[in-house]
Amino acid sequence: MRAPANAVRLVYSRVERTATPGSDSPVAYAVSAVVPSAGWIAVDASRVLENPFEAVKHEYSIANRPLIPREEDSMQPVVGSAGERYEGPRGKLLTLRTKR
Amino acid sequence: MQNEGEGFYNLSSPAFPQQGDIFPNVPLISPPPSPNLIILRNTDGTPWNPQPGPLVASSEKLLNAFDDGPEYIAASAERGYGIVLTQTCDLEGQDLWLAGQLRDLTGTKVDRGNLMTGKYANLFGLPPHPLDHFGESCVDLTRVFPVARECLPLKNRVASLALSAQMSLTDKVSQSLTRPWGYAPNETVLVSGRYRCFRCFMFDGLNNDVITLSAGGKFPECADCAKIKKHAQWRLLLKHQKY
Repeated sequence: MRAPANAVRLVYSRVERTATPGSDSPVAYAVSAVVPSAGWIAVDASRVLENPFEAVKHEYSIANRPLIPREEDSMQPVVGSAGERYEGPRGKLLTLRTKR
Repeated sequence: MQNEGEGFYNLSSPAFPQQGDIFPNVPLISPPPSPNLIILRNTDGTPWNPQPGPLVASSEKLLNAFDDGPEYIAASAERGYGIVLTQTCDLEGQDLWLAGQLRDLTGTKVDRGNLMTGKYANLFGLPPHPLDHFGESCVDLTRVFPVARECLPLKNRVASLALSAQMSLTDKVSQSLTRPWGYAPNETVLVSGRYRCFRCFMFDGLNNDVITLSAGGKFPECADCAKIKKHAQWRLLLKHQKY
């Protein structure tokens, strides 16, 4: 079964179990694999309500559910009187206030 | 060229766990979306005493499950990068910590710019790890997993957040789990009474009028909020008392 276009992949890591014990340094670990993208489907819980063996499948895990952003404010791109949006190191601001 | 994650993460390995610490291989266990669980029993039907060996999996409907105490069940589990969401000052005394899962932005409709500037109420953005443990990710703060603290040993931690990022996370956790709310314009008034717009009550120079509405009517726009193109959040006013 193929993953839908909007499937969200969990950020996986398989850390080497032989990592240096007691070390807190990231360089002591090696990421050996990153996950599979196939086989993930969106949840359709309504058809698995009465079948626990269907419901327990990995396809219906919390981690497989698509991200649903909750908008706190308008998400529409805004080009204010100051012109283009300010773009900082962590992304674009929605507006740039130039005067009080 | 500086990696944008370098100012976001504290790679100096603080000597104690903190909210925002990131671990690999965090066990994420999902409760199945069914009212009936899968019960694991010994092959003779007696309750399982955890030990290696064959088991029988049965639907909860077919057994007298939970009559004599807790049961062992089947659940979907996986391991991935997780971020500690429990408050730093609570970590020492808690057996179970709350963790969020890091998720890849690839293939989502999440706008990177809005994510990284904190515009989503429920998502917290993470820049790529400076040492490539993970790429640009986000955490849905309304989906949290309880994780036993023993599963998150300090030696496995791959990153902590810098102080400013910790503060952003604290704000976002508060915002996603406890944000205040009010009735929106055009919603039906269920309770007659006096209402105030909660969105603008804290700002100086505004009237923030109290309005009287009757049940069955509709909530209006707030004149003050409309000027800045925001919608009202009407709240019923209560008697001033201790609660």
